Amino acid sequence: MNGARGFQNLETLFKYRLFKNAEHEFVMSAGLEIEWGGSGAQSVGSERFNVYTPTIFFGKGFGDLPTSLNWARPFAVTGQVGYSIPGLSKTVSATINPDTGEQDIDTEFISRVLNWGATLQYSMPYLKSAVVDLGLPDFVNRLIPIVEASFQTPVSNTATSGTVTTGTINPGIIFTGKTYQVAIEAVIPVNRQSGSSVGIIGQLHFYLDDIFPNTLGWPIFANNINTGRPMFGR
Amino acid sequence: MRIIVTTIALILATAGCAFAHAHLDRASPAVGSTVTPAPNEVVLWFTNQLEAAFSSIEVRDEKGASVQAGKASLNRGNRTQLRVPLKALSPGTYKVMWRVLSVDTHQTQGDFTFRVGP
Repeated sequence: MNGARGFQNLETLFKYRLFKNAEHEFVMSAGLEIEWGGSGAQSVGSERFNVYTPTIFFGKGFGDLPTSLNWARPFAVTGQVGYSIPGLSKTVSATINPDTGEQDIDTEFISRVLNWGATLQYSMPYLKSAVVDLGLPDFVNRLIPIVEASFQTPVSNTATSGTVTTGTINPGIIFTGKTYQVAIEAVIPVNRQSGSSVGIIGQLHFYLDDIFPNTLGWPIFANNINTGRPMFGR
Repeated sequence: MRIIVTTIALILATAGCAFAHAHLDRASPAVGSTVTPAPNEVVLWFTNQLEAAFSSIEVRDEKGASVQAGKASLNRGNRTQLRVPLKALSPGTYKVMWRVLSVDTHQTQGDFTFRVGP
């Protein structure tokens, strides 16, 4: 992948909140993620076919811990489990063998994959607004240290891929602005099949509902109350 | 090759990760603080302007009894500032629960405690 550049495939996510308990800072949602095949650059590994991933998400904040554990109340965990269903079950390619001049047929089976992962994060904005205002600089009060873990386990149609779980552990930090957030994380492979060295990922998010509060950000349904604890994760 | 992945992801997020709604910026008494003497009001500053009719503060003592001396009111000269008068407080821990509607129509809520020292 040395020198590779280009966009990955476009991904869209339709998400519906199934359950919310504000008192215990717990939320569970279901969604369908679609990776639109052919919308990205093949040089960075983007596939030519769609991938559909129904996913369950959950988030839990620990603001309901007793005040004797105040230091732990800004912690939150998020998690997700999804099942990726590719739009193709296999690809077939033909090449000419340079030694024999004969045509070789290669068949690659595209496995269905269990995607699972979690994050652990510590919200300095929550510490300041709900636990204790330590009078720290504004920059520090906007930080969220985070560790993400993301794994992929092939579960069917695995003749080509095998069944070894791959994934990465990503420690990093998020800075939350008024209408955006930026994050930088290290990407550490969990085994040889996941990669051979450490990488870096940067993310820039825009809050469309705050940038366009009267159009894109207008609430579709009433009673959409934000508790002030953001949860970040994939 | 030291770096296997270098990615800049540009993500358009919608509600759920919102920060520029009216969130609590600071408070008097400060969040988690111990104060002496007892304050006669709680003042909250938010990160966005508020709608007065749909913004409120409740303050309760350790037994859950309300200790407000009146309704919360918005500062007309600074619509990010909401205040509520208090009855005479004795030493103890008090919980402040706020629920506000920002001018961009998004609701937020939260709570914190402060302590009145002997």
